[in-house]
Amino acid sequence: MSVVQALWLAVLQGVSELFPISSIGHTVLIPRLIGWDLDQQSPTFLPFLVALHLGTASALLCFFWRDWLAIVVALIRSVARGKLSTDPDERLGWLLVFGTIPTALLGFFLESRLKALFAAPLAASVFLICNGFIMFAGERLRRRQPAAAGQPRAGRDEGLGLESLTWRGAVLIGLAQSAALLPGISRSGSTIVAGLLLKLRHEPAARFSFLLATPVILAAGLLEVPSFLTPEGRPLLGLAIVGGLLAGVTAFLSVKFLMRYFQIGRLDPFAYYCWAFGALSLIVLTVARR
Amino acid sequence: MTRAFVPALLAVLFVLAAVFYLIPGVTHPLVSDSPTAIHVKHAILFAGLAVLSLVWARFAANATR
Repeated sequence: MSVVQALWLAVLQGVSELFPISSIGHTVLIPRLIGWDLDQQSPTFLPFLVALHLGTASALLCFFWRDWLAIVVALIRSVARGKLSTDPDERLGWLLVFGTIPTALLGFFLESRLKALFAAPLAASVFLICNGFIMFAGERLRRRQPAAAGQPRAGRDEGLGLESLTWRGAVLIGLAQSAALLPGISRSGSTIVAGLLLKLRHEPAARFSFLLATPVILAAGLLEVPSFLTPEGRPLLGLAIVGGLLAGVTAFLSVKFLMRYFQIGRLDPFAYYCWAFGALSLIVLTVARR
Repeated sequence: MTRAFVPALLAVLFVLAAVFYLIPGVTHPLVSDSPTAIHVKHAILFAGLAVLSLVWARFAANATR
């Protein structure tokens, strides 16, 4: 992997991890489409990937640092008391814990198997098209939903805030996040759609999605830190650090943009993009195979 | 049987599972490679679940008072 390839992959990771367009799908497809001969399953690539994950997670922690500080303090107080209170930060913290458990369990036991089965460019392009349908259908279904009690009909962006999210809803969103184990399905897309179907507005659905993603991405990175210490990993350490910083910067800018975008925007443009890019990839890869 | 019994029991089981995955030479289920090697990540996962179960037990014990 050259320096230029590494930097481009870092930018790609930072953007696609948070935009609802599937980071795994793009990191599988784009190198293949532009003819980069990268073995992303090799032990030498893993430390680089770890650094990108840590960079992305750091960006999320930085952007939501006030939320995380309040949540962690509230959770510590809650555990020390041994009782739940009406503190909204405490409630949000426990919702994130509930939402993280299904992803952690399913990801832990299924990720390597699913990657072995589906981390091929053709499969990724098909799942990317499916990702588009998930977001398109999610938006349409939300608009057809009956309004929540006391709320106007789910139209442009009426709906509920995170204070209305239940434990069951948090678990459902966590299960939706697990769909991103399939290369081509977006973590943020599936979790935002799940939030919308639970009658959340776009902005709180996106906020919960990004908060929920943070411990998962952070854990995925931290658990693989020992790979830096292997003989294969050490030569890439410098490049990994630069890549991680670049992924972090692009991820920070991405989440900043998306949190503003979802105040009024919807998932439809991302659905159209996923259809277009997925279809184009499928055509190019199919023709190249012949 | 108090409400805290089930989460406490789960915590014990998860701790045992965490220790199990640190024992070399034993065939570990639910791993993708080298079933008889030490699996630190699995141990960490089950240790985390044990901690959550203990927290649940604490809440359950307070709820019965």
